[in-house]
Amino acid sequence: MNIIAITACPTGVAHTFMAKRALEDAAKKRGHEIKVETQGATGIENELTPTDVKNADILILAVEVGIAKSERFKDIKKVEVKIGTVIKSAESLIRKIEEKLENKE
Amino acid sequence: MGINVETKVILDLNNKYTDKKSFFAELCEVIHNEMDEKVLAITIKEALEEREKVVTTGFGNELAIPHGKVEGLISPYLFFVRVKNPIEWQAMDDEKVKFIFVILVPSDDKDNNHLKVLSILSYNLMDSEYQKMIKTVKDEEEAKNIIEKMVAVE
Repeated sequence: MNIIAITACPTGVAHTFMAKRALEDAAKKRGHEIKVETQGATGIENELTPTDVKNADILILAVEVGIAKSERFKDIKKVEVKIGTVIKSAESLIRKIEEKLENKE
Repeated sequence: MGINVETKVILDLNNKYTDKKSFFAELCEVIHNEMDEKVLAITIKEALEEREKVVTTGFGNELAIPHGKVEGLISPYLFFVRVKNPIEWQAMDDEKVKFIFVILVPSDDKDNNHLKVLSILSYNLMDSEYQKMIKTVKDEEEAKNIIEKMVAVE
């Protein structure tokens, strides 16, 4: 799978980046490609490009605040999750997404 | 990148309180006394509590990372506190917390190297090797060395 994700939380210094790490580790472990954009206190980093979005199978939104530039994601399948869920159990989240996408195809 | 954020290590704090609410008050007094800046303990406490309301910062494995934007703070601070008496934190894994990284950032601080350093630290805190290392430190110097490593690699 090709996964893209955005992480964001109110302070934007801790959970945003912990969630990024958790998603990257979990995706790698399950053999997927992933790119995670962070919208934290330092602004947008590792920004998802139109190509990234076009090539992605799924967008994971792990956000506790409104995100910037959400118009990029009109036409892509999304999963919205709590940032705590990602930090706590990113791997089972990825597994659930795998199942969901497999069943539909 | 070296750690350009004011970093303090407090090992084996003999904390009086083990419930989160009272401990936060105690912790913020301790932090306040260690800081050069004159920010009130209550101001720090309010910032941490405000953030804690959104999602628990106890992210499992006895670790927590309370943080907040603090009114009137001029530059960021990082504290690593190891407590003697584990705290009921309502952590993600429901375990008590013993190892605490406190991050304080100025409320109007945007886009600078300090925040970058803190974000790399948070990123690396999810690494089980780093977690093991920080949980077994013997002294302050060792703790600082590990923290330094945690902010140096992206």
